[in-house]
Order: sequence, then structure tokens, then C-alpha cells
Amino acid sequence: LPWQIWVIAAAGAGTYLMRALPLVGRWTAWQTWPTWLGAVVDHVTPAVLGALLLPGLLLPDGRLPAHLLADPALWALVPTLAAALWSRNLLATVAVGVSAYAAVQALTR
Amino acid sequence: MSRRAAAIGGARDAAPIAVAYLAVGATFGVVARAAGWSPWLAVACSGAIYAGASQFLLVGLSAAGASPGAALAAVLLANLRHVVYSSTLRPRLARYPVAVRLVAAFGLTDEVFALTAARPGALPGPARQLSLEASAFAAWLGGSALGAFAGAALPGSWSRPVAYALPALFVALIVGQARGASRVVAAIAGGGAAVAAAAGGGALGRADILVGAVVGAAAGALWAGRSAPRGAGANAAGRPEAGA
Repeated sequence: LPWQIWVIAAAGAGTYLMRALPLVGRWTAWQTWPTWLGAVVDHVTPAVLGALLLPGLLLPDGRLPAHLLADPALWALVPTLAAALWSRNLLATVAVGVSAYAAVQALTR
Repeated sequence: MSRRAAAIGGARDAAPIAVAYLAVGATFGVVARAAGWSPWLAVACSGAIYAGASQFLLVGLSAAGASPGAALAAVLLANLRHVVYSSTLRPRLARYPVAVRLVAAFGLTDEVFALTAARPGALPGPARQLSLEASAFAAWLGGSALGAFAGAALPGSWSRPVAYALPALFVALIVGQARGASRVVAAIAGGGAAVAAAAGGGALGRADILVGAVVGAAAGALWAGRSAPRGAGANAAGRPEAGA
């Protein structure tokens, strides 16, 4: 067996434990969290969304590309944002985003 | 709601994620094969770890000749953010029995977490949540298998547009979440911090989303505290007031 299979098994177990333990363990007895921690936790979701979105747009391969403005991802953001604000619908926004990316890619090739 | 309706509802909830997972999963399968992995190893990786960014990281490290210990440490570091995700969701998932939580925990990817945490009001019943998660996982596994076994036959131009479903989903979730200035501050600060960490590279770069989550959440909380010093107690997590 290749060594990767053991790393995959260990990484899978570790990732599962990181996902599962806070959902059942006593150490996260959230009723007793101090107020400031509650305020931080309330802002985790928007913070994570920003952190998931921006690096993928600005650093597509882990670094700033030489021609950022040539990347369809930035241009497709405009109609995607408009669709999100207008429709308030996840699937419609995704459909507009994917179509816009494909259109920009076809136009700039 | 009947079980059948819950299953269909969950699959519909998952649709924006599933579309993207098919494309990104297929890309993972292709990349893993290109790095010399067998198709089954690629599918096993998607089935066991089920966290896209860290799987790409593992393939890259293994292709670059990293030691197994270093590869494992890098994957676990990249996935440390899931502790923050699950701690955040804990109050909302508390309505499910422990057994359901233990199953649901496996499916809490970035996107499933974001969708679940951003859902207004109380979470649906366990059947609908588990159907959402199972649909997303099936798409990830199916996409990975497609890329690993049939990657050579896939046209190269389709995967990037379809993979854009993920940033589009994040944009839609941010817009839906952006009630109040402090949440917008959290999103911008989180994004900025993640970009800075990723550009810097190293261990912080591998944990860029975790860095963004912590910095952004702290910035949002500080902003909320400044503008409402008494802490109006409004929290979207549905958390009862913390009793001192």
C-alpha cells in the first residue's frame, strides 16, 4: 500500500474529530460562555464567508497573478453580486455566476 | 413534514453546493491522477477527508516529495478551522440528538457550514439537514470518481466556469447575511486577513481561512460592541442569553 493511504486515514480521522468533538463535548458548554465570546461567535459566519471568497478571487494559485484583470473571476463578480442583491436566491445567483464566468471566458479567449 | 419531503427539501437546499462539488471534485480527481495517484486513492481521499482545500494540499505535498508526517501535519493545520465551525454551530445543532450530531459532523464542509450557519431561523429537522449533507457528499464523491476514472475524457473548458459556483454561492450567502454593519465589517476583515495570510505563505498561509475567521469575527464583535455598548443581546445563533 502507498504511504498516502495511511496519511489519508489519519487526516480523515483527525478532521472528523475536529468537526465532531465541539458538537458533543462538555468543554463547549455554550450556555456558560462569557458575553464577549458570544459576540465573537456571532460574527464567525460572515468572517468565514469573506475568508472563503477573497483569497480564491485575488490569489487564484496562492499568489497575486501577473494579470489579475484578465481573470474572468473578477469580472463575473459584478453580475453575480447584482443577481445576489436582486434575487436573494442562492441557486439563481449561482446560475448567473457560472453563466457570467463562462461568457467572460469565451469573450476573452 | 414527511421523510420524503424532507429528503427532497434537503437535496434542493444542497443544489448550489452540489453543482460546484461535481466540478471541483472532478478537478481533484484529475489533479490526483496527474500527481501519480491511483483512481481509488483519489476517491478514498475524498471519502475519508472530505475537505477540498486540504486534499489539494495533500496531493501537492505528496507530489513534491514531502514526508508523510509533514503532509499529515499540513492537512490537520489546514483543517483546524473546523473546530471553530462546529463550536459556532453547536447552539443551533443542540436540538438534534447526539447520534444525529455525530453523523452530521462528518458533512460539515466549508460550504455546508456556511449554508447551515447562514440559514435564518431555527434549523430544519434532522432528516432534511442530513439529506442536504448526503447530497453534497454524494456530489463530491461522484465528482472525484468522475475526474479520477474518466478525467482524460472531460473537456477542459467546462470545469472552471462550473467551479465558479463556489464563489457565487459565497457572494449570495454574504449578501443574505449582511444584516448590520458589524457583519459587513466581519466579512471584509475576515477576507482581508485571509488574503494577507495566504499571500504570506508558511503555516499561517495554510491556515488562511482560520486566520480570517478569527480576525474577522473579532473585528465584527469589536465593531458591534462599539456601536451598541450595552450589547442588545440580538444574536443570529439563537443563543439564549449567557447566564453568568
